[in-house]
Amino acid sequence: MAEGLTDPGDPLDSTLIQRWKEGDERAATALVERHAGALARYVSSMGERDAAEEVVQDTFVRAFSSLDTFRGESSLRTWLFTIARRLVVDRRRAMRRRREVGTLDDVDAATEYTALDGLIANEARKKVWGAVGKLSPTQREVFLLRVNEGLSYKEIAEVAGTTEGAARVHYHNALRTVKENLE
Amino acid sequence: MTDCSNIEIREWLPEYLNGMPGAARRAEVESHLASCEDCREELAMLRLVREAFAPTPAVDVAAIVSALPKRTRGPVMRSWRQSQVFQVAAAVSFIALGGISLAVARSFFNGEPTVVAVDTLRTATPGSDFMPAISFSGGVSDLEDEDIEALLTALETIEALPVTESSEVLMTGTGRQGS
Repeated sequence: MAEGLTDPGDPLDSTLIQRWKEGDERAATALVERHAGALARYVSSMGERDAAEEVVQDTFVRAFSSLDTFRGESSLRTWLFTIARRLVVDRRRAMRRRREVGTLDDVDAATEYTALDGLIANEARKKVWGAVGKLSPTQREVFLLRVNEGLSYKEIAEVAGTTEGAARVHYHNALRTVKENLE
Repeated sequence: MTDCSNIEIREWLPEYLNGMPGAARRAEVESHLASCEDCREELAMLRLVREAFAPTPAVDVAAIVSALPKRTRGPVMRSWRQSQVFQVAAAVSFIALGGISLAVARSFFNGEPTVVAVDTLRTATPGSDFMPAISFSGGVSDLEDEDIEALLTALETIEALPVTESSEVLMTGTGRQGS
Protein backbone atom coordinates (compact mmCIF):
# COMPACT_ATOMS: atom_id res chain seq x y z
CA MET A 1 0.00 0.00 0.00
CA ALA A 2 1.25 3.46 -0.86
CA GLU A 3 2.35 5.85 1.81
CA GLY A 4 -0.22 8.35 2.90
CA LEU A 5 -2.92 5.76 2.53
CA THR A 6 -4.48 4.01 5.45
CA ASP A 7 -5.51 0.46 6.08
CA PRO A 8 -9.22 0.09 6.78
CA GLY A 9 -8.42 -0.57 10.45
CA ASP A 10 -6.27 2.55 10.84
CA PRO A 11 -7.79 5.69 12.32
CA LEU A 12 -8.59 8.46 9.87
CA ASP A 13 -6.49 11.61 9.79
CA SER A 14 -9.42 13.56 11.24
CA THR A 15 -9.61 11.11 14.17
CA LEU A 16 -5.90 11.46 14.85
CA ILE A 17 -6.14 15.25 14.67
CA GLN A 18 -8.91 15.20 17.24
CA ARG A 19 -6.89 12.91 19.51
CA TRP A 20 -3.89 15.21 19.26
CA LYS A 21 -6.07 18.19 20.15
CA GLU A 22 -7.12 16.27 23.24
CA GLY A 23 -3.49 15.87 24.26
CA ASP A 24 -2.57 12.48 22.72
CA GLU A 25 1.02 12.89 21.53
CA ARG A 26 0.98 9.45 19.91
CA ALA A 27 -1.57 10.76 17.43
CA ALA A 28 1.01 13.29 16.24
CA THR A 29 3.56 10.52 15.76
CA ALA A 30 1.06 8.49 13.76
CA LEU A 31 0.28 11.45 11.49
CA VAL A 32 3.96 12.21 10.90
CA GLU A 33 4.73 8.55 10.17
CA ARG A 34 1.83 8.42 7.74
CA HIS A 35 2.72 11.48 5.68
CA ALA A 36 6.42 12.29 6.16
CA GLY A 37 7.70 9.91 3.49
CA ALA A 38 5.40 11.18 0.75
CA LEU A 39 6.21 14.77 1.67
CA ALA A 40 9.95 14.09 1.58
CA ARG A 41 9.59 12.45 -1.83
CA TYR A 42 7.56 15.40 -3.10
CA VAL A 43 10.03 17.97 -1.77
CA SER A 44 12.86 15.97 -3.26
CA SER A 45 11.14 15.83 -6.64
CA MET A 46 10.88 19.62 -6.48
CA GLY A 47 14.68 19.72 -6.46
CA GLU A 48 15.20 20.16 -2.72
CA ARG A 49 16.54 16.73 -1.86
CA ASP A 50 19.25 18.02 0.44
CA ALA A 51 16.76 20.15 2.35
CA ALA A 52 13.94 17.61 2.27
CA GLU A 53 14.09 16.67 5.95
CA GLU A 54 14.22 20.30 7.04
CA VAL A 55 11.34 21.28 4.79
CA VAL A 56 9.27 18.30 5.94
CA GLN A 57 9.87 19.20 9.57
CA ASP A 58 8.93 22.85 8.95
CA THR A 59 5.83 21.65 7.14
CA PHE A 60 4.63 19.64 10.13
CA VAL A 61 5.50 22.38 12.61
CA ARG A 62 3.49 24.90 10.61
CA ALA A 63 0.63 22.50 10.11
CA PHE A 64 0.37 21.52 13.76
CA SER A 65 0.62 25.16 14.82
CA SER A 66 -2.44 25.87 12.69
CA LEU A 67 -4.45 22.69 13.18
CA ASP A 68 -7.08 24.60 15.16
CA THR A 69 -7.82 26.60 12.02
CA PHE A 70 -7.74 23.58 9.70
CA ARG A 71 -11.33 23.31 8.53
CA GLY A 72 -10.97 20.00 6.75
CA GLU A 73 -12.26 21.35 3.44
CA SER A 74 -9.34 19.59 1.80
CA SER A 75 -7.64 16.44 3.04
CA LEU A 76 -4.81 16.76 5.54
CA ARG A 77 -2.48 15.25 2.96
CA THR A 78 -3.36 17.91 0.36
CA TRP A 79 -2.95 20.61 3.00
CA LEU A 80 0.48 19.29 3.97
CA PHE A 81 1.60 19.20 0.34
CA THR A 82 0.38 22.78 -0.09
CA ILE A 83 2.39 23.96 2.92
CA ALA A 84 5.48 22.06 1.76
CA ARG A 85 5.22 23.56 -1.70
CA ARG A 86 4.97 27.07 -0.25
CA LEU A 87 8.04 26.44 1.88
CA VAL A 88 9.99 25.22 -1.15
CA VAL A 89 8.96 28.27 -3.18
CA ASP A 90 9.93 30.61 -0.32
CA ARG A 91 13.22 28.81 0.07
CA ARG A 92 14.01 29.14 -3.59
CA ARG A 93 13.10 32.81 -3.63
CA ALA A 94 15.48 33.37 -0.75
CA MET A 95 18.22 31.41 -2.53
CA ARG A 96 17.66 33.32 -5.71
CA ARG A 97 18.01 36.62 -3.89
CA ARG A 98 21.20 35.46 -2.21
CA ARG A 99 22.89 33.94 -5.20
CA GLU A 100 21.40 36.19 -7.86
CA VAL A 101 21.07 33.21 -10.12
CA GLY A 102 18.72 32.90 -13.04
CA THR A 103 15.16 31.74 -12.89
CA LEU A 104 13.90 28.89 -10.79
CA ASP A 105 13.37 26.82 -13.89
CA ASP A 106 16.99 27.22 -14.93
CA VAL A 107 18.19 25.96 -11.58
CA ASP A 108 15.95 22.90 -11.83
CA ALA A 109 16.85 21.93 -15.32
CA ALA A 110 20.56 22.54 -15.10
CA THR A 111 21.57 21.09 -11.79
CA GLU A 112 18.93 19.05 -10.05
CA TYR A 113 18.83 15.90 -12.11
CA THR A 114 22.47 15.95 -13.05
CA ALA A 115 23.35 15.94 -9.37
CA LEU A 116 21.01 13.06 -8.72
CA ASP A 117 22.38 10.85 -11.47
CA GLY A 118 24.86 9.32 -9.07
CA LEU A 119 22.09 8.17 -6.81
CA ILE A 120 20.50 6.04 -9.48
CA ALA A 121 22.36 2.86 -10.07
CA ASN A 122 19.87 1.26 -12.40
CA GLU A 123 20.21 2.31 -16.02
CA ALA A 124 16.48 2.19 -16.62
CA ARG A 125 15.89 4.49 -13.69
CA LYS A 126 18.53 6.84 -14.98
CA LYS A 127 16.64 6.97 -18.24
CA VAL A 128 13.43 7.77 -16.39
CA TRP A 129 15.09 10.60 -14.53
CA GLY A 130 16.34 11.95 -17.84
CA ALA A 131 12.86 11.77 -19.36
CA VAL A 132 11.19 13.42 -16.37
CA GLY A 133 13.95 16.03 -16.30
CA LYS A 134 12.88 17.17 -19.74
CA LEU A 135 9.48 18.23 -18.48
CA SER A 136 8.71 21.79 -17.53
CA PRO A 137 8.67 22.37 -13.75
CA THR A 138 4.87 22.53 -13.69
CA GLN A 139 4.46 19.42 -15.84
CA ARG A 140 6.93 17.57 -13.67
CA GLU A 141 5.23 18.59 -10.44
CA VAL A 142 1.79 17.58 -11.68
CA PHE A 143 3.05 14.35 -13.24
CA LEU A 144 4.91 13.22 -10.12
CA LEU A 145 2.09 14.16 -7.75
CA ARG A 146 -0.19 12.01 -9.85
CA VAL A 147 2.10 9.06 -10.47
CA ASN A 148 4.06 8.93 -7.20
CA GLU A 149 1.39 10.00 -4.74
CA GLY A 150 -1.82 9.15 -6.57
CA LEU A 151 -3.32 12.60 -6.05
CA SER A 152 -6.48 13.41 -7.98
CA TYR A 153 -6.57 16.36 -10.38
CA LYS A 154 -8.61 18.25 -7.81
CA GLU A 155 -5.98 17.67 -5.12
CA ILE A 156 -3.16 18.57 -7.49
CA ALA A 157 -4.97 21.76 -8.43
CA GLU A 158 -5.18 22.72 -4.74
CA VAL A 159 -1.53 21.96 -4.09
CA ALA A 160 -0.14 23.60 -7.20
CA GLY A 161 -2.56 26.52 -7.21
CA THR A 162 -4.06 25.74 -10.59
CA THR A 163 -7.29 24.30 -11.98
CA GLU A 164 -8.37 20.71 -12.39
CA GLY A 165 -8.52 21.17 -16.15
CA ALA A 166 -5.03 22.63 -16.31
CA ALA A 167 -3.71 19.83 -14.10
CA ARG A 168 -5.23 17.25 -16.44
CA VAL A 169 -3.65 18.90 -19.50
CA HIS A 170 -0.26 19.12 -17.78
CA TYR A 171 -0.44 15.45 -16.82
CA HIS A 172 -1.27 14.20 -20.30
CA ASN A 173 1.35 16.42 -21.95
CA ALA A 174 3.90 15.15 -19.44
CA LEU A 175 2.85 11.55 -20.01
CA ARG A 176 3.28 11.93 -23.76
CA THR A 177 6.70 13.55 -23.35
CA VAL A 178 7.95 10.89 -20.95
CA LYS A 179 6.67 8.12 -23.23
CA GLU A 180 8.44 9.63 -26.22
CA ASN A 181 11.69 9.96 -24.32
CA LEU A 182 11.57 6.42 -23.02
CA GLU A 183 10.89 4.78 -26.37
CA MET B 1 4.01 2.54 -27.34
CA THR B 2 0.55 3.66 -28.44
CA ASP B 3 -2.27 5.12 -26.40
CA CYS B 4 -5.35 3.11 -25.55
CA SER B 5 -8.61 4.74 -26.59
CA ASN B 6 -10.22 3.95 -23.22
CA ILE B 7 -9.52 7.31 -21.56
CA GLU B 8 -11.45 6.42 -18.42
CA ILE B 9 -9.27 3.42 -17.65
CA ARG B 10 -6.09 5.32 -18.46
CA GLU B 11 -7.15 8.06 -16.03
CA TRP B 12 -7.41 5.43 -13.30
CA LEU B 13 -3.95 3.96 -13.81
CA PRO B 14 -2.09 6.32 -11.44
CA GLU B 15 -4.68 5.68 -8.73
CA TYR B 16 -4.50 1.96 -9.42
CA LEU B 17 -0.73 2.13 -9.08
CA ASN B 18 -1.12 3.83 -5.69
CA GLY B 19 -3.76 1.39 -4.51
CA MET B 20 -6.53 3.91 -4.27
CA PRO B 21 -9.65 2.84 -6.20
CA GLY B 22 -12.32 0.79 -4.52
CA ALA B 23 -12.59 -2.95 -5.07
CA ALA B 24 -15.09 -2.64 -7.92
CA ARG B 25 -12.95 -0.07 -9.73
CA ARG B 26 -9.83 -2.17 -9.25
CA ALA B 27 -11.58 -5.19 -10.73
CA GLU B 28 -12.66 -3.10 -13.72
CA VAL B 29 -9.12 -1.84 -14.31
CA GLU B 30 -7.64 -5.32 -13.93
CA SER B 31 -10.17 -6.76 -16.34
CA HIS B 32 -9.20 -4.14 -18.92
CA LEU B 33 -5.47 -4.65 -18.32
CA ALA B 34 -5.87 -8.35 -19.00
CA SER B 35 -6.89 -7.60 -22.56
CA CYS B 36 -5.08 -4.31 -23.34
CA GLU B 37 -1.36 -4.34 -24.08
CA ASP B 38 -1.18 -0.53 -24.44
CA CYS B 39 -2.50 0.00 -20.95
CA ARG B 40 -0.19 -2.67 -19.53
CA GLU B 41 2.77 -0.87 -21.12
CA GLU B 42 1.57 2.47 -19.82
CA LEU B 43 1.13 1.05 -16.32
CA ALA B 44 4.63 -0.49 -16.50
CA MET B 45 6.04 2.87 -17.46
CA LEU B 46 4.24 4.63 -14.62
CA ARG B 47 5.51 1.98 -12.23
CA LEU B 48 9.05 2.57 -13.49
CA VAL B 49 8.68 6.29 -12.84
CA ARG B 50 7.36 5.62 -9.35
CA GLU B 51 10.23 3.26 -8.56
CA ALA B 52 12.79 5.68 -9.97
CA PHE B 53 11.66 8.22 -7.40
CA ALA B 54 11.17 5.66 -4.66
CA PRO B 55 14.42 6.30 -2.78
CA THR B 56 12.88 8.70 -0.31
CA PRO B 57 15.17 11.03 1.59
CA ALA B 58 15.65 9.90 5.16
CA VAL B 59 13.23 11.51 7.55
CA ASP B 60 13.63 11.37 11.32
CA VAL B 61 10.08 11.02 12.56
CA ALA B 62 11.07 11.32 16.23
CA ALA B 63 12.91 14.59 15.57
CA ILE B 64 9.92 16.00 13.71
CA VAL B 65 7.52 14.99 16.48
CA SER B 66 9.75 16.53 19.15
CA ALA B 67 9.75 19.81 17.23
CA LEU B 68 5.95 19.97 17.10
CA PRO B 69 4.07 22.35 19.40
CA LYS B 70 3.01 20.56 22.58
CA ARG B 71 -0.60 19.96 23.29
CA THR B 72 -1.28 19.03 26.91
CA ARG B 73 -5.02 19.30 26.92
CA GLY B 74 -7.80 19.82 24.46
CA PRO B 75 -9.30 23.20 23.65
CA VAL B 76 -12.68 22.22 25.03
CA MET B 77 -11.24 21.40 28.47
CA ARG B 78 -9.15 24.57 28.50
CA SER B 79 -12.09 26.66 27.48
CA TRP B 80 -14.17 25.12 30.27
CA ARG B 81 -11.43 25.77 32.80
CA GLN B 82 -11.01 29.33 31.64
CA SER B 83 -14.73 29.80 31.94
CA GLN B 84 -14.72 28.33 35.46
CA VAL B 85 -11.92 30.65 36.60
CA PHE B 86 -13.82 33.58 35.20
CA GLN B 87 -16.97 32.52 37.02
CA VAL B 88 -15.15 32.14 40.34
CA ALA B 89 -13.49 35.54 39.90
CA ALA B 90 -16.83 37.13 39.09
CA ALA B 91 -18.45 35.51 42.15
CA VAL B 92 -15.67 36.69 44.46
CA SER B 93 -15.92 40.22 43.06
CA PHE B 94 -19.68 40.21 43.49
CA ILE B 95 -19.45 39.03 47.10
CA ALA B 96 -16.74 41.56 47.90
CA LEU B 97 -18.70 44.44 46.41
CA GLY B 98 -21.85 43.29 48.19
CA GLY B 99 -19.98 43.12 51.49
CA ILE B 100 -18.56 46.59 51.06
CA SER B 101 -21.97 47.98 50.17
CA LEU B 102 -23.53 46.32 53.19
CA ALA B 103 -20.81 47.66 55.49
CA VAL B 104 -21.26 51.18 54.16
CA ALA B 105 -25.04 51.01 54.56
CA ARG B 106 -24.79 49.59 58.06
CA SER B 107 -22.30 52.12 59.24
CA PHE B 108 -24.40 54.89 57.74
CA PHE B 109 -27.56 53.87 59.53
CA ASN B 110 -25.82 52.88 62.79
CA GLY B 111 -23.75 56.05 63.03
CA GLU B 112 -20.38 54.38 62.98
CA PRO B 113 -17.62 56.90 63.56
CA THR B 114 -15.78 55.93 60.44
CA VAL B 115 -18.57 57.13 58.26
CA VAL B 116 -18.30 60.59 56.94
CA ALA B 117 -21.91 61.59 57.11
CA VAL B 118 -23.53 64.68 55.85
CA ASP B 119 -23.29 67.02 58.80
CA THR B 120 -25.53 69.67 57.66
CA LEU B 121 -27.95 69.86 54.86
CA ARG B 122 -28.60 73.39 53.84
CA THR B 123 -30.85 74.31 51.02
CA ALA B 124 -30.81 77.65 49.33
CA THR B 125 -33.13 79.00 46.79
CA PRO B 126 -33.06 82.34 44.98
CA GLY B 127 -34.53 84.94 47.19
CA SER B 128 -33.97 83.18 50.41
CA ASP B 129 -30.44 82.62 51.49
CA PHE B 130 -31.21 80.01 54.02
CA MET B 131 -33.82 77.37 54.26
CA PRO B 132 -34.53 75.24 57.27
CA ALA B 133 -31.42 73.28 57.76
CA ILE B 134 -30.74 70.11 59.56
CA SER B 135 -27.64 68.59 60.84
CA PHE B 136 -26.86 65.28 62.34
CA SER B 137 -24.03 63.16 63.36
CA GLY B 138 -24.09 59.49 63.93
CA GLY B 139 -27.07 57.53 62.69
CA VAL B 140 -30.64 58.35 61.97
CA SER B 141 -31.67 56.61 65.18
CA ASP B 142 -29.81 59.29 67.15
CA LEU B 143 -31.99 62.12 65.84
CA GLU B 144 -34.65 63.77 67.96
CA ASP B 145 -38.21 64.02 66.71
CA GLU B 146 -37.80 67.65 65.73
CA ASP B 147 -34.64 66.88 63.83
CA ILE B 148 -36.39 64.14 61.90
CA GLU B 149 -39.25 66.48 61.11
CA ALA B 150 -36.77 69.10 59.92
CA LEU B 151 -35.04 66.47 57.81
CA LEU B 152 -38.28 65.43 56.16
CA THR B 153 -39.19 69.05 55.47
CA ALA B 154 -35.81 69.65 53.93
CA LEU B 155 -36.12 66.51 51.81
CA GLU B 156 -39.48 67.69 50.49
CA THR B 157 -37.88 70.98 49.53
CA ILE B 158 -35.06 69.19 47.76
CA GLU B 159 -37.42 66.96 45.83
CA ALA B 160 -39.42 69.99 44.73
CA LEU B 161 -36.41 71.60 43.11
CA PRO B 162 -35.77 71.04 39.41
CA VAL B 163 -33.22 68.32 38.97
CA THR B 164 -31.33 70.42 36.46
CA GLU B 165 -30.60 72.98 39.09
CA SER B 166 -28.74 70.82 41.46
CA SER B 167 -26.23 73.60 42.13
CA GLU B 168 -28.85 75.38 44.18
CA VAL B 169 -28.82 72.58 46.67
CA LEU B 170 -25.87 73.16 48.89
CA MET B 171 -24.44 70.73 51.31
CA THR B 172 -22.12 72.39 53.73
CA GLY B 173 -20.35 71.40 56.86
CA THR B 174 -21.61 74.29 58.96
CA GLY B 175 -24.42 73.40 61.26
CA ARG B 176 -25.19 71.88 64.51
CA GLN B 177 -22.79 69.26 65.59
CA GLY B 178 -23.74 66.69 68.10
CA SER B 179 -26.73 68.49 69.48
